[in-house]
Amino acid sequence: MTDNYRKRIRSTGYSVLLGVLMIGSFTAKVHGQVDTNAKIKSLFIYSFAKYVEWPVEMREGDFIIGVLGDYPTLYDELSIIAQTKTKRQQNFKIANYKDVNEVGKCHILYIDPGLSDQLYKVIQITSGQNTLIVGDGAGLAAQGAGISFYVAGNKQRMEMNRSNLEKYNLKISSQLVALARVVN
Amino acid sequence: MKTIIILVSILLMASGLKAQDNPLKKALELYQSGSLREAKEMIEKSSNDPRWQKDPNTWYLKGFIMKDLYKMMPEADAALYFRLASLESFMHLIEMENTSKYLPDALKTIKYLSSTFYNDAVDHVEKKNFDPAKEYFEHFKNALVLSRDKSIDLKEQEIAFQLALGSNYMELYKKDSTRARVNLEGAKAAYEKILKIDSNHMKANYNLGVLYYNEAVNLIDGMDYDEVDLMAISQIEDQSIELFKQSLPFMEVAYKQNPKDRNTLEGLAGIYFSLREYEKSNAYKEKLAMLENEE
Repeated sequence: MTDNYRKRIRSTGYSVLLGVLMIGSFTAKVHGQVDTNAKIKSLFIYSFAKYVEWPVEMREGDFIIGVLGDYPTLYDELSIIAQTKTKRQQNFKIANYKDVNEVGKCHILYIDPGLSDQLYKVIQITSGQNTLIVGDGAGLAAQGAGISFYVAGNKQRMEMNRSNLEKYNLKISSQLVALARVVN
Repeated sequence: MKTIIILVSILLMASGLKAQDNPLKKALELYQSGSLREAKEMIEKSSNDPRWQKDPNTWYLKGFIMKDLYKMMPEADAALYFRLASLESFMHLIEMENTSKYLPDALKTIKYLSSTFYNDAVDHVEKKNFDPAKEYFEHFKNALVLSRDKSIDLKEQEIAFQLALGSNYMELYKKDSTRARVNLEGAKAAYEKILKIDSNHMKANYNLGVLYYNEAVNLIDGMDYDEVDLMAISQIEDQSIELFKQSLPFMEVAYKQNPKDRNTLEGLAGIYFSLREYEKSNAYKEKLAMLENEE
């Protein structure tokens, strides 16, 4: 939007001259490249790291958050966490897997909506591990994810499957349960 | 000045009174000799005296003395007082009966005063002194109405002024985080004033849409990972959704006014994306892409 606007008005007879009104150099513009949804998801994923308890053997080494799929804005947001935060003595490490066959050992694995159909394969790969599988789409918690994001009333919400979480030997705090829709 | 001196002189001569008995005549003599401060004192005596209050010459001359005092010291603290006193005098004059012969000079001077208020308003906007700017602009409007000058469109002037005000508030909002809320609300108020005049005004609608949108984005973007708990995330998200929804109708009106404005298309795509209405967001992104292909 070009906001520079000049107006000069001369009245007749008295040399009345109204000054030049500069609308100003500021151009209002929407924030470009801001993915607010990615920030919200990232905040929730970081909260999962705080409000979920992993078994003792998972409390050493890096705390790995995996992103399965192509979601660069979420990866970037999570990378900010890795650069600035720790989980007790554990450093955060963010891994990006483009393909389900690349998935390695993770504390949290987020699955991009475009790869939701790979959930069953993810469950096979992570079997016997202590991975919090986070889906992105309604109904995924019922299909095997521990937690899944869904949208209701324009808002990011989450559903949770306690049985699935127990299978992975993960303990959830009551604060997290209170905000989620429990599906089993 | 010649006009009034002649006119008042003739009238006073006709009265036959000596200057010492006649504060109006004395004021005129002082005015003619360039002793404006003394002329002011004398004309104020005259305008406070019931005997002379009924004489249109009192208000006519007072209007010119006050105007010339302003012209002599436009930077003085009393500059505003002189101009308002001049206007008030001419208002008295205009309200009196049988004063049509005074009107041409009076209205021209009022028009001149209105232009000085306008110029001061502009000056203060540019210096980002927003309260005085608004005050002077109100004086400009009042004086312009009083001047009966139809050559200047007051609504057009108001819109231009409020656009400048809103834009400068936003510039300051970007620079000064300590008064961010004050400047944001100032910008909103300016654009809302425009919409009261013209509810379909494209720039005002677009800018208001952007303000609410950016406010929502800033809320989310400003959340620190360790400072917000789960409940706070939820609450802040609720607030941001409300702001995105507030942004939407303004941006939609702007879009109707100019469906090929890239910024508006970008804004609508962003709002719907943030509201997680992805189909609508993608539709506007496609329109934006088509527009870029056309160019």
